[in-house]
Amino acid sequence: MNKEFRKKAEQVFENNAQLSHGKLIEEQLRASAFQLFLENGFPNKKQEDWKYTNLNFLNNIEFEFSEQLNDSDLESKQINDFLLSKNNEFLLVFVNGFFSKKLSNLHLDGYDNIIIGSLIDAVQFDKNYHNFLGSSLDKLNDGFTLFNTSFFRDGAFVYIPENFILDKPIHVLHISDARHNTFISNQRNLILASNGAQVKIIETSYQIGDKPSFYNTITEIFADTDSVVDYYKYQNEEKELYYIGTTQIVQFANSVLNSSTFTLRPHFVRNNLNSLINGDYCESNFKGFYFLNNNEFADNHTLADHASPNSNSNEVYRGIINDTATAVFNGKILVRPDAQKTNAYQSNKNILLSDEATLNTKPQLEIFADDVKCSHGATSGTIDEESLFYLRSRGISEAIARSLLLSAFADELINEIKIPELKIKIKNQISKSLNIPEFIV
Amino acid sequence: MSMLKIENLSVNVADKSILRGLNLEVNAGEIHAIMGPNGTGKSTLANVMAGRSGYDILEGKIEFDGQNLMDMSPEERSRSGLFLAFQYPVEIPGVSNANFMKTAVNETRKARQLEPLDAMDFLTMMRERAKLVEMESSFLNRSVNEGFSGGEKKRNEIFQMAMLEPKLAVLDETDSGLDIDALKIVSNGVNILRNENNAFIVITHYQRLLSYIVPDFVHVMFDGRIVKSGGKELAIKLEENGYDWIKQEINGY
Repeated sequence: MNKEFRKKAEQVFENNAQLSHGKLIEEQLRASAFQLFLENGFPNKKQEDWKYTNLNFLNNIEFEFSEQLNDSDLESKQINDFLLSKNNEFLLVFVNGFFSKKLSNLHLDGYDNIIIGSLIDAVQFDKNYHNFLGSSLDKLNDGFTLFNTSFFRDGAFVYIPENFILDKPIHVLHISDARHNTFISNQRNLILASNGAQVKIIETSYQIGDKPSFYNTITEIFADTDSVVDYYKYQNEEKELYYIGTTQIVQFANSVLNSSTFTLRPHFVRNNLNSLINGDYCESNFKGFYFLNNNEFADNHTLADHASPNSNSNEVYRGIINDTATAVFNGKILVRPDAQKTNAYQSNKNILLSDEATLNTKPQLEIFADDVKCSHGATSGTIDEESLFYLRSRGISEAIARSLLLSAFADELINEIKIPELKIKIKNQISKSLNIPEFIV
Repeated sequence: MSMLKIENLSVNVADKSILRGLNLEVNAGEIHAIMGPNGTGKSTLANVMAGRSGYDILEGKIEFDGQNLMDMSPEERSRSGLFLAFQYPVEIPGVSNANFMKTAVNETRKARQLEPLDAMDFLTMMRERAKLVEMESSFLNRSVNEGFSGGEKKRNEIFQMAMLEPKLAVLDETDSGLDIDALKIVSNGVNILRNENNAFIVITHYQRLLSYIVPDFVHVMFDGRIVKSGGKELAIKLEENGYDWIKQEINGY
């Protein structure tokens, strides 16, 4: 962190102390996070968790803080392409970390007891919600988390009451407006699924404008007893968006968490996905697919933290890496001493399409209980030549045969998507990237 | 003009000489059987014809329908009417049979400057041809060969052949690993598809298949060449007496 940035940060931090921000989390919490951030700065390659993540952009680009909502010259039609569906989702739009009521589409009539909206509104409605904020993060003291805690001003808030099954998905859409400024945006989302509740959340992030932008976001999810939370991330950013996102989940007994992360055409993406399994008989499913071209970078760090017995975690990540792109996968399974009868499975399969593509994949198993079943596997390879020849011998051109095989590799994960509009969007994007002719789809 | 003309074909695999001056001519309407002990180059011949990589063609030529096969990619060979039924069909998870065939048929049509088949016509065609090898239509939605039994895989090869309607089909040990029922189904499929405009090369170890698919010519391959040719009775003689008498004939004692 250079002096100038430090000065800027201190100034903005002071400004924020006067604002509503103080009401979102205790000022003391915010101040101590900022203090720690100033001491340690952003992470660097010397830290094991950031070894393969090139964070030079933090030094090379001069960022400004986004300090207020500015959606006055944005219109709904500008974000039409980013939506999954016009009427079949609850849409929460944020612009540079600030809630845009104008661009959001909530139509909550008939949904009386649920809350979907901005964090600021929710905390004004019921102060107790702010007790949740940050409570899942006490062990996360890396620079980006501290930075987020110091500077976030708003985010999505979702509360699903007991036994309520929400039919439509909630889409949290972030727009980095990089038309005029080079912004840093911080955002904090909070999702509360009560006992027996069921909810589907989709997070997407897009950039408009051609300057670089940096989006640092954290989502905290509390999945109470018997709840089912489907959590999707769809990352298709294209432009010069630097994305660092942490999702911290706390699971209580019998809860099911299905997480799916799809990263296509990112510029720079780092996902931290952590689930604390804090009750018996939980299920934690982590699925992920990345398809990287050109000089793109995607880094998935996951943690299945088994702190209670009799739970299952199941992780499947797959990736296709082309050109000079780089993928990082780090899957950690932690089985704490009390977490007997844990079943934990992990797999990471990769296809490298170019000699210059880079993959760093690392399973990390830390097991402190003796009656557990854990397995992991990581592979990297090229397209199977036998399959390729088989397809070609039936008249299919080499290019299309390759595309078919790659699309099949992705399909296993894509077919599990439970939101039809999302599934179609992702399928189409992959077909487009792979140049698959229409008559096949 | 003959459909297939192989002249003096010599092929190495990893510096090992496998085919040594092989000659073969096939005309439309004919069924040729190629027999011979293991390791004499039968499958190499099939693979070289289909264009599999890893084979060094030292000399000779293969002319198919007047075209030089060696100049063509595997997909071009297929589109021009050559079909190989694989000895070991590959499993391809995630690609459905229907999608596979739709792509193959439409790519072939495109190469012949024909419009792609519309979805309904295609489905009708697939169902009809699947019946030919007694496959239920549910198999069309399954991934290519994934979890198929040996018999199902071979039936799938014949189904694909029925879809692509080749001029010349090379059946590489399609009978290996088949029980008698599957053998009858596969043979029946071939017999329905044969006509005066197409031709088959049936590679096999055993006479068994040839009592269902009756060949016009039987060739014996030994040491990388065809050393003896005859009618269907040759296959019966081989079944009864084995190959030793042929080895003796060649070696002259």
